[in-house]
Amino acid sequence: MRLSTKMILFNLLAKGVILIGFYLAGPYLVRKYAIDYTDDRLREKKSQVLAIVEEAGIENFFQDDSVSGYGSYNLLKEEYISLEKILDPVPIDSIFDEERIIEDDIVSYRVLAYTFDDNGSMYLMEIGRSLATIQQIEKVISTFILVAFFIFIGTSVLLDTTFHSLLLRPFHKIIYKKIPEIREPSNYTYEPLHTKTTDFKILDEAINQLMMRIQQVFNREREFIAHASHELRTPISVLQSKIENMMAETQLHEQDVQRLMDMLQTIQRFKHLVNSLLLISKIGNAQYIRNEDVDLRQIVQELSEEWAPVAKEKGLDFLTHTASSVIIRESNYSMVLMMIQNAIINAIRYTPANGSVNLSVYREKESTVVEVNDSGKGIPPDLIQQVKSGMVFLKDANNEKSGFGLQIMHKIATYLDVGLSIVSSDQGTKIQFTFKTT
Amino acid sequence: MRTLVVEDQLDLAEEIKSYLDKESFHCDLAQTYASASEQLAINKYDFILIDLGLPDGDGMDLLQEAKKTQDTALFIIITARGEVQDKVTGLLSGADDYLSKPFSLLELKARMQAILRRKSGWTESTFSFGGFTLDPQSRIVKFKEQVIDLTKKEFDLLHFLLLHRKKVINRYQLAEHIWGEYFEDDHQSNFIDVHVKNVRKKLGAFAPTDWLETVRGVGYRIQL
Repeated sequence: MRLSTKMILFNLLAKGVILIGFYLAGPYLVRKYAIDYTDDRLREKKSQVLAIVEEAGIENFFQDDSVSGYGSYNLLKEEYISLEKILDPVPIDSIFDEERIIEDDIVSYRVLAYTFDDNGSMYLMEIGRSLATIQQIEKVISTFILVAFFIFIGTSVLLDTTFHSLLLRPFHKIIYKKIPEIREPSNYTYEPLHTKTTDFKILDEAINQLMMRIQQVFNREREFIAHASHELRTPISVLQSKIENMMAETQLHEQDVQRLMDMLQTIQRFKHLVNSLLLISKIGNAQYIRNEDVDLRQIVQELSEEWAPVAKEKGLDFLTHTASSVIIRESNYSMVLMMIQNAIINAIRYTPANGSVNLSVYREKESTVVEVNDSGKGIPPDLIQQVKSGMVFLKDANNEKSGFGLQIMHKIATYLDVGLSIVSSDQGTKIQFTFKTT
Repeated sequence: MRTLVVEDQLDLAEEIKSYLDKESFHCDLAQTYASASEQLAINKYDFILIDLGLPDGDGMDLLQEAKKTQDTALFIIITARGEVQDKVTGLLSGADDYLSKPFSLLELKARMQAILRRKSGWTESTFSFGGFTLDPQSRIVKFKEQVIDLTKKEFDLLHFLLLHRKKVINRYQLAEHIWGEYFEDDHQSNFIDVHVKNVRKKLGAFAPTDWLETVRGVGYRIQL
C-alpha cells in the first residue's frame, strides 16, 4: 500500500476514533452540561425568591390562613415555584428529578428543594424546570456539535490529502521515477530532486551516490567482460576455423575426422562456457533492450513446434495448452523464448522415456503464467537454492555436468521482472513463469 | 566477389581467406587499420569484413571511413567484443551484419549470402534437389507442385545443408545456425538428429531422400 494512502487512512482512522469517542461520551457530556446549567439557573432563582421573601415578607405568600402553600407556574408549565409551610423542621437543600402533577398533567421536573426558617416557622421552597426543556437544550447542543464535527473532519481530510500530496511529491518522484531506473544503471539520471524538505534531499543524494558507485562497478565489470571476451573468443575462433578448414579436406581418413570432431567438441564446450558467462554477465549488466511486445502464445506455439518432435522421439508425451493471445509489454522476445526454452530442454533431458512434459499458458488474477512441468527425476533442492542465490557455477552432486540453463533462466526472469517458481521432487518438476499482464 | 578481411589475428585471417577463396570470394587481408585504409583507397571491394579491435585504431572508425569510399560494398563486423551496445552502434553505423567470435565459417558464408540477397537484390536461385525445390525467398519447399509442410527449424536446417551441399556439416555448426550461439547442446543430445529425421520423413513421403546422408559421428551431408 502506498505511503500517501496509508497516511490518509491513518488520519481517517484517528478521526474516526475521536468520532466514536464523541458519539459514545457526547450525550452524557451534553446532558451533564445541560443539567449543570439548569442547576445554576435554579440556584440563581432560589436566591432571587429568598430576596423577594425577605423584602416582601413571607405572609404576603400566605394571605389566607387556610392556604398552607403558594404555587406559581407559567402557561406551558415549563417552570414552577412553590412555597409550603412545613411542620417537620428537616433542613433540605438539594436538586433532583421528580414528577409533579400540575392540573392533572404529570410533568417531569428538575427540582430545587430548599427549607428555610422565617420567624420560627419552617418553609419548603421548590423551584422546578421541566426536563423536556432541558432535553431540548441537549438536542440543540448535540446537533450543533455534531454538524461542526463533521465539517471539521471533512475539511481536515481534504486538507490532509492535499497537504500529503504536496509534501510527498518529491518522495513519489524518487519512488516512481528514480527507483525503477536502478534496474538499468546505465540509464539512471542523476538530476537532483527539487525539494525544500531536507529528509528527501538526503535520501535523493544517498541514492544518487549509491548509483554512482554501482555505475562505476558496472563499468569496470563491463570493461573486464569486453576485454576477457576478446582474449578468450579470438583464440577459440582461430581454433574453430582451423578445424573447420581441416575437416573440409576431402582426403582425410575417418579416424582423423573423428579426432577433429573430438577437438571441435572440446572447443564447443569452451565456447559455450564463455558465451554463457558473457550472457549471464550481460543480463546482470542490463545490456538487453526491454521495449518489445511479446506474445506468449506465439512463443509457446513456436517452442511446442520445435520441441514436441524431440520429446516424442524420446518416448515422452508432450502436451501443450495455450490460452488466447497474451501480450507482455516492455519485454524482450529472444530473452523470454530462451528462458522458457531452457526449462523445456531441461524437462526433456531429465525425464525418462514414457514420462510426460507439459507446457501450458493460463491466466491467474492480474498475471499470466507459463508452466512447464514434467514427470522426471526432479532437481535437487540444493541446486535450486544455488540458482536462487545467484551462483554462476552450480555444483550438482548427482550430475557431473550442471550447465548454465537454470542460471540463465533465473537471471532472465529477474531481469524481465518475471516471477519464477521452481517446485521439484522425485516425482517431477514444475516451473512457473508469472508475467504481470496489467 | 572481391572481399577485404580486416583482422589483426593473422591465424584467423588466413583461415577465413582460405575458406572464402574456395567459395569463390577473392580475399585480400589487412591486419592493421593503416593497411586496411591503404587497400580501401586503392581497391574496390564487394564485401568488407571488419574486426573492431585493431592494434592501431578502432574498427568502427574504419567502417565510417570505408562507407565513404566503398559506396557499393557490403559490410560485416566480426568481433570478439561482447557488448550489445557495440552491435547496435555497428549496425547504426552502416554495417549490414554483425557476427560475434567465435563463429563457424559456414555461418559466415550463410550470412554473406543472406546480405547479398537482402541488399543487392541478388535473388538466390531456387534449390533443386532429388525432385524437390526449396525457395529461400518464400520459404517454401515443394515436390513438383505440392507444398511440403516443414516447421521453421526444419526449413532452416534443410536450407543450411543445401547452402553447403557436398560438404559435411557437423552437428555443432547446425545447432549454432539454427539455435544461435547461446544454445546448450551437449554431445549426447539428439536435438539435431530428430529434426533431420523429421525432414527425411516429410520429404520421404514424396520421393527417396538417400541424398541426405548421415556421416557417422560427425553430422550430415547433402550428396547431390
